[in-house]
Amino acid sequence: MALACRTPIGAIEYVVPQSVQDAAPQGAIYVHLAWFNVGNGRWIGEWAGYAQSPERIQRLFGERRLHALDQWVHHIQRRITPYGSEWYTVDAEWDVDRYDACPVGGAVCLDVTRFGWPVGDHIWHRWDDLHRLLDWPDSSGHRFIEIDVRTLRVEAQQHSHRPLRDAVPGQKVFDITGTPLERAWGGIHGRFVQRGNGLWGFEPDTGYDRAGRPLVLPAERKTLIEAVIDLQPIATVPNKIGIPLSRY
Amino acid sequence: MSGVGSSGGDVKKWNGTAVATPTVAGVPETDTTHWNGTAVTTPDTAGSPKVTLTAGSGIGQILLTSGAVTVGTNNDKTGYSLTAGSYSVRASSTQTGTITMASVTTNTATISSVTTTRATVSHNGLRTAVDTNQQSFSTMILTNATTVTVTREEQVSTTTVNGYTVSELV
Repeated sequence: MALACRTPIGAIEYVVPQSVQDAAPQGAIYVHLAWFNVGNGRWIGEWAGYAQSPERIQRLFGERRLHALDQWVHHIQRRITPYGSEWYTVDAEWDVDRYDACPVGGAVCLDVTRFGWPVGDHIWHRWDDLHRLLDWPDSSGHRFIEIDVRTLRVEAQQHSHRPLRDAVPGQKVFDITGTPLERAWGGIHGRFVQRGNGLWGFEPDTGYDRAGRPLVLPAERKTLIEAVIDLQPIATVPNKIGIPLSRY
Repeated sequence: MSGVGSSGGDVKKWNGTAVATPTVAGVPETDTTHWNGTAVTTPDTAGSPKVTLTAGSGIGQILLTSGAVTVGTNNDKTGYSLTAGSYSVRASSTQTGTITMASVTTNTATISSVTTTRATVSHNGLRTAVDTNQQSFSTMILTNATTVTVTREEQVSTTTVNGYTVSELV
């Protein structure tokens, strides 16, 4: 579960507050680690918490400092698994199947503390072992829509290589990647409706811009009207990575 | 004959055969030929005894499986090679989207968490049939780490779509 907190205006934030980092015990330091499969570059898991601070590293520089940092990360991450950790865990998220299937020597562990992103945000990223590059290629992009839960109108459409988590009171985020709605992304203007047969559908807006072009193009309109949509998740509490719509 | 005191002795033969000259004077030399009645295995290297390990998981034992040594479960998926203490990333993280306004003067969209001190939002224009400035022109700000807000002066029922891009330096 990504660490959440309320801002003064009531919005929800998922970045790590400075107070969490400052709460590290004496001799410990807040660190956020991410594991990737060296062979296929896929995400395995992330962990964040308080671990033993690196010793005497302040006196080192250049290659010796890099080597010491590398040894420290190795020392810390060896004691962390999806099933338990020697260090104090603040947050963690794992693909346990990928972890169990990964052979010894098949993973790389990266210190991702500097990004300041919530645990789980690297889930769609890729590790390029040849170039030692943590990358978010086009394939890591997901498409989302955000709905007002009272009116069921689509208020926003988003594209990001990192998860979106509900942050606006009264609005919910849905991950539409891989669903029929994704084809119409960018032109999803309108609202969800429940038809007489009890099934959910979508009612596109009929607006135009000043040039007379419809805001919802005919192809998009057809996709939206014909899409089979399950909005049962809208009645549940928000989960952490947007609620994936049923894929038909 | 009996008496008090010590008497010396000098062994010259064992069972009729002369005692071997010791390597170190005064230290009797022995040569192991049998263990528990069974002849000692000829060593591969002269002077190095040949030993067979006892399999087991108890103290002082080694767990052997089909000629291979089995160690405890290794939970370290990185093995014993170096982890990536230093690595490269793309220079920036970018996300895009649109915010729809109809019958409101302001609306907010959720974004992936960013650090506001190194992120910017740009307004990518708008599409609308509205033709008055107060109802179409709008401002856009990065409200906090997880939201972008667009605001206009007057509301109108006609749909207005505002585009945005959020870029974060990493």
